[in-house]
Amino acid sequence: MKSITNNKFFIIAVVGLVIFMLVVPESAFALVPGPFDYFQKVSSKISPALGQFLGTVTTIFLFYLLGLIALSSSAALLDHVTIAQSDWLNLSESVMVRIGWNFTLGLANIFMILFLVFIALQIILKIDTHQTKKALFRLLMVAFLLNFSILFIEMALDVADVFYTAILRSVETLPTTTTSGLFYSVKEALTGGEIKVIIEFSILAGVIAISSLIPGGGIKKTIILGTLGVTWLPTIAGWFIQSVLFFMIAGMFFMYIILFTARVYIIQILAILSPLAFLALILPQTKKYFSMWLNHLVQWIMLGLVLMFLLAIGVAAMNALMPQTIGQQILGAIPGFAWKGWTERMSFYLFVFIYMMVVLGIGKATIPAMGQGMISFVQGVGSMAVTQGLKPIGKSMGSKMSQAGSDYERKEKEERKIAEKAGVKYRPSKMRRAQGILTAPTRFTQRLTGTTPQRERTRKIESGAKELEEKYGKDTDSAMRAGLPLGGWNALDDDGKAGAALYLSKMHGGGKKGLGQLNNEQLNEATQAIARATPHKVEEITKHRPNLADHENARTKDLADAKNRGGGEDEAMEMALTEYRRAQKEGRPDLMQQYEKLAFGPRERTARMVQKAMVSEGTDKKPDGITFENKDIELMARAGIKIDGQDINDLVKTDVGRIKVIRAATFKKAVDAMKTSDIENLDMSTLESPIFQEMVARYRSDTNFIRKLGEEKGQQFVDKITGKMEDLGADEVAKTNMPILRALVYNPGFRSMCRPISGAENEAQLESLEEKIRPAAAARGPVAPPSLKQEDMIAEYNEMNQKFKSFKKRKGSGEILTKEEEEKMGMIETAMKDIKRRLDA
Amino acid sequence: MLKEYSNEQFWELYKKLPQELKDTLFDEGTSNNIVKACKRNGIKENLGLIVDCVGQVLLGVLPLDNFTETLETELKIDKETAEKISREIHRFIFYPVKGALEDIYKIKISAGAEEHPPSAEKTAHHSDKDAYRESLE
Repeated sequence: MKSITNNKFFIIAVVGLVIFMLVVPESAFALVPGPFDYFQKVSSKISPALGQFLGTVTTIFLFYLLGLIALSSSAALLDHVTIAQSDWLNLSESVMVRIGWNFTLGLANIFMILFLVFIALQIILKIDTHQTKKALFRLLMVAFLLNFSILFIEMALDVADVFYTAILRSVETLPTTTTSGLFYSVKEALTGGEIKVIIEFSILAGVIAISSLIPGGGIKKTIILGTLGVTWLPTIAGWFIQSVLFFMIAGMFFMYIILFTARVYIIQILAILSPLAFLALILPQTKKYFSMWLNHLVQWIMLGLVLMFLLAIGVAAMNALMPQTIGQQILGAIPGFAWKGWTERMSFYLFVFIYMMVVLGIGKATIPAMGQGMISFVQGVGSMAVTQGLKPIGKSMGSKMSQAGSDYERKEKEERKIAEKAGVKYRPSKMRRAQGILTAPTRFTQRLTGTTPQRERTRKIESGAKELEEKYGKDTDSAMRAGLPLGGWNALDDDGKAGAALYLSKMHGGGKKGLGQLNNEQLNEATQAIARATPHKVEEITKHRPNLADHENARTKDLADAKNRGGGEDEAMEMALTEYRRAQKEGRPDLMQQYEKLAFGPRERTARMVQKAMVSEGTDKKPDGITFENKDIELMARAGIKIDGQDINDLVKTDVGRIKVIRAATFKKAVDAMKTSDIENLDMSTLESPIFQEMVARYRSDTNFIRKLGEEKGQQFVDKITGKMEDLGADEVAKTNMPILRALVYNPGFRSMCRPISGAENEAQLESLEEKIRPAAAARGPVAPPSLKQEDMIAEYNEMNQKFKSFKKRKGSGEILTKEEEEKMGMIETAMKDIKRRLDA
Repeated sequence: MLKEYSNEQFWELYKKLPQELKDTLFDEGTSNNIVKACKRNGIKENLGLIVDCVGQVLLGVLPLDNFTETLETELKIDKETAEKISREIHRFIFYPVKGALEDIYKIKISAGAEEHPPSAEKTAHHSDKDAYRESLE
């Protein structure tokens, strides 16, 4: 007999199978992805490059290919395992069986002699009974049988072999299985053959290539892609349904591969034990062990016979029912022609699906009891392949549709705004109109369900962060450790990264156990993901790491990194940067934009994205032409603060100046968002950052902030803040932070910790400073109340409305509210009116 | 002359203070009360010195016994004005945290700001513990 371990194909296949099973196990949590999460990631990368439609098609095709690989490999392996069974089970040639059987035979013979002596003694001593004589007869019969036990097993195996061979041969007559085995023919029946898959793949590659050649975008591209979508629908639907079947059948096949491999060893072990099993026949008390052995032997010898029979019928039926269009290898693969025979194809897939479910059910029932444990393990693998495989596809498609709707609304809003500014009536381009029509169903559904893509995404990110919080709490080490073995971070999609970063920042801020768990690259990725998906959450990260918003510092570090990497990247980056600066000097925004992408490294990209997310209004002004849209910039301008010695209103006249203003406003916002409790987890780079120190000096008027800084980080950082105040000068600090100057003079704690700064050392000087800052603020008119974002206001209004309605309902039902409740109801009503007024405004 | 303490000495003292006194030391209300007391009593200059005195009492290095006297000497004002300011500061700043101050100075503080001198034994014991704290004798 050929040894199993000598068979290279078998070893490779088993190793492949083990790897597959090791890779597949379900994720323990969000940071440990399954292999299908990679596809989601791939999909998220593909879409921006190919567009929503082609991205979705490619994702489904990739999923289809994975299913095809799983089915092909499992089918080929199962075919091999079943065909090789008779070779592997040639017991008389197996060294292991021969040695083992000889040993147990010797052991059984010793027992036989002992029994014989025992019976002989009974007869000699005349203490024998009727049972003794019966036992003697059984002993003689067993003495004969056990020496031939292995022969009996081989005979039984031969009988099973006859059935197997008959079934396997029966399918060889089928048109699609002339060259392949029984199980492999299932794949061919489903797909229509490799050539068809290759043609379909070639067409997909061709479409991608052609679409990339269509310049820009425009209505032409939309029409071409739209036409492709319609003509390709049956093929795409076919891929999707086939993928489901592939994974289901592959799971079943893998289950049987394990069982058939186990069958070889179990039968060999049963053969080795056979002399002892026969020995157990002698005594009535031990007879049950023989029955057990026999049961196992019969079950394992006949294993899979029923299933193989059903599969053979199924394959024959599949071939008979297979619509011609599936079999048409060239014509069937061409988009458009695939519509032909659409109903038959779908009916065929439905038949296959139901039949496979039945086969799976019956197959499971015929498996030996000992194999049930193995089945539950393999079943877990198979079912997960389906659930984990389908879920990401569904999610991915849903999120893409949702994103398309969101992109359309955002772009349309931006264009409308530009048109309004220019004083012309907004007329959407043809491209935008087409997008509007295509995304209308998604947007309609979202309106119907009262949600927006942005909110959906925010919810997803938040739930990811919450899940981690619930599972690991403050133990971020465990959260990260659990994610590392599979290289979890890299496999996370944008939302996963965003959720993980938000979790870390919530637990331990910017400290080592918080955002410090992420390296620079990961932190940049996560921040960019948050800036893209939920811009309003960027603050949660930047308040712990304000430096993320500092593009100047980022550029230096990016260049240093590029130089360290070598390979000319730094040179290219520097050249682009030189060109960018030249364009900046020449006032060429078009060129600046062009070189920006080449010149900016990951840190700088993050910084610019953070700035855009946190100061989304930029330096735009309100229709009055005086007031800035952004409240922080307006506050800075109102206070008359200077950046690099220049006034805000002068700075916004140039690109360079605008960038400076936006940078300062972003930092201000980050420092404003910082809570006193966040200081504990601030990292050194933040504390050492001059712009952080400047923002604290200028805007943090609460005495507890600087007190906490001293308590947590030491006197040297308090000195840095007061040093920064000295650098800026009392006049400049007074514009935005008079309370801190007063505290430095009149607060006992501050006076003990640090001294007042020059020019603000006593009452007279403080009064003089206050006199100076009054006119600057008065010149720009009354201060507008800080405005909440419209979305937040609506959410707040809805929440209040719900509470108000519940009070009203209780009152309506005759219930008497308490005084406090009445007061609360009144307060809610007033607040709602106020929000409504602000919304109307 | 009011003794000066370095930043290191300040943090050493500060760390040992009860939370109540730490909060009072940095509280905006404390600053406001000092300014108001000074204004009511016609003090327009050297407010910083009064703030320093209050700070040192709260830090546990200037005994309450010596507070009025220190004000008088440092601000070079008459005894009556010093007492008036001292009374107001007692009432609005020290009395709300009397428990913590009693504990730190081992004395008894009443609403009228009358202090019982600490026993020599207690003071000696206390000063043994803290190198920066001045003797009350």
